[in-house]
Amino acid sequence: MSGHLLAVTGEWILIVIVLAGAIPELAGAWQFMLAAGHRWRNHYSACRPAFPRTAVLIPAWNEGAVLAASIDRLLAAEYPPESLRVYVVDDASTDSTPAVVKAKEAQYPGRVVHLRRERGGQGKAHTLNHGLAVILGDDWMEALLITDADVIFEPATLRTMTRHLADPAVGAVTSYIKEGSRPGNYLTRFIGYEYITAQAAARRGQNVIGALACLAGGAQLHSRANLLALGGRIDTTSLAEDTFTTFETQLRGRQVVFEPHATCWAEEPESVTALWKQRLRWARGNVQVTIRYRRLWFRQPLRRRGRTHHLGSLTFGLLWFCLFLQPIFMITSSAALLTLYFTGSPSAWPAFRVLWVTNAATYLFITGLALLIDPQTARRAWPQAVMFPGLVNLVIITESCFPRAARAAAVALHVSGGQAAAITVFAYGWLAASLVVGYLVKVVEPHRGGRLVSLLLLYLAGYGSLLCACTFASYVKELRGADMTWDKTEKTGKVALPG
Amino acid sequence: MTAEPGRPAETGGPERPEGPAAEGPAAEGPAAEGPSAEGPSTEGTVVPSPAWQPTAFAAEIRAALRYERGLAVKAAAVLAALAVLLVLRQLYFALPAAGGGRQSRA
Repeated sequence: MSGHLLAVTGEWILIVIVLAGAIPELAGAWQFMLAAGHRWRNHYSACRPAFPRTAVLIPAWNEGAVLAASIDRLLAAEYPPESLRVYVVDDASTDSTPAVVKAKEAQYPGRVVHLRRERGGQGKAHTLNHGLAVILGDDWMEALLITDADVIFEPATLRTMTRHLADPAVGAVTSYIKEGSRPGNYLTRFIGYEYITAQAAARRGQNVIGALACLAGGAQLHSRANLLALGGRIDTTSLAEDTFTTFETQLRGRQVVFEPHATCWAEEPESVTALWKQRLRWARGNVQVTIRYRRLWFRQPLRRRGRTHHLGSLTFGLLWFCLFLQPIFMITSSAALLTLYFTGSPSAWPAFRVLWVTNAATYLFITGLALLIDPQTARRAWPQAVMFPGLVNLVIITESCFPRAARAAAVALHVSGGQAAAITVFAYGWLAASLVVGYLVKVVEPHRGGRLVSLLLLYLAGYGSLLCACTFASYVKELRGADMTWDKTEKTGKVALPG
Repeated sequence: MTAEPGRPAETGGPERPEGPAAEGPAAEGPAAEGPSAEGPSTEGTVVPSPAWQPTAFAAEIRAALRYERGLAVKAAAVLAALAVLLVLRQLYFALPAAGGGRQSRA
């Protein structure tokens, strides 16, 4: 009797673990629901026309190909010219960067400043701190915009951001960075779609919660008071200096706002190898943030300077950890399903169906709403939006939602019992296996003919699986205590604003 | 689609000033004292904005709010469409609950 009870309990535990595999997707859908709540909870009522004297800080290491256009666009902003200066911190560049900046100094006297580090290569945070020390050295700067050398601002973007600084409770503002490589390729279009979900939707939702996870490294506007409160320096001990800055700002009682109607454009990686390097850096930074703020998660909001931050709220914690632990959810869900299957449990198939029908519903909701949030990107990237989960996932989703049709297809194709069992094992184990395929997408690309194989694998396993594999790799790197080398993403100046 | 999302400025239309003199932020003027709680000229100096009319600013904010209202409607529409799909699927494609682990598939 006790053995039976144990078996039943074990089976239910396994079922719960299987169903937990849907939690990250449900959290994603919840974030989209929160984004819809931006209609009621936003910061616009506190906005006023504001044009603080703004210093733009651009860290640059061998950015000669992209800098000139970025500076030109910044200085053409709809902003009082005498209230806008650009500081380029040249991190010991060996290309044309110094010449480009000097030419811009001559073209815009008093509005472009070239700062040079003779010893570079220590990472972006060190480069930023070099510029910060100079900019904070006098009283001119009232607001600081940190951006990247390849980011192209639209004319209204800066003033659309500064209007939030009229509210002294706001310490920092970030904008919607869109993928701007032209002509781009399949990978940049995947990234373009990803940015709708990760920025336009997710950060709107975070505005609603009152806790922002990250100020985009390429467009973060700080008030002077906020920078001084942060000690006038950017954290140099991690690979996620922008996330640390975001957290510290909120922990010190200042609000961080995402302004979805301030748009700028950035060049994104066109190869999986470059994307992997970039995302591994981000993911490792997230591991570091998760550990550094381990006493923050799921704690009651604190009140500082009369304002409550919500970094410790249940909602924010769930959203953070669902994304952070998604590979673990995938692996354990598959393992539990296979255990149910191989122990002959009748619950395996129903649990599998519930898991995948839930995934289907969240996929349809997220994809549909994401495409409506940003129709401009949707026009370019809708095929990548549809294929975001990958072909195999879509087949499994279809099979789960329409099992009668799948069964009829199996009969028509004369699938034998053994083949059916093999297909079942494959489907049950796919969530975990997709991480391996996602990793292979990166591994095969540099080899001869690998680009095509990588592309095929990417469409089979999905872009999401590639990102999850990268997240898993970040756990491994951090566990191993790998060096914190700053692998800069190469930029070639392919950003073009839409006509 | 007449306006791209996230770009209310294009519908609200900021007006460019006539000349450099008109663009002055008046940062040194009385309005430059702003709402900063920690002293002048440290946070978000508010100016009456001779460069960009308050009416244009208000129009931009209205456009942003209009977009956000539309977003909520879009979310509701997508949810409704999803619900319809699920109901249709239940009505026309649902199988009776299948039993039996390995044997239940294919």
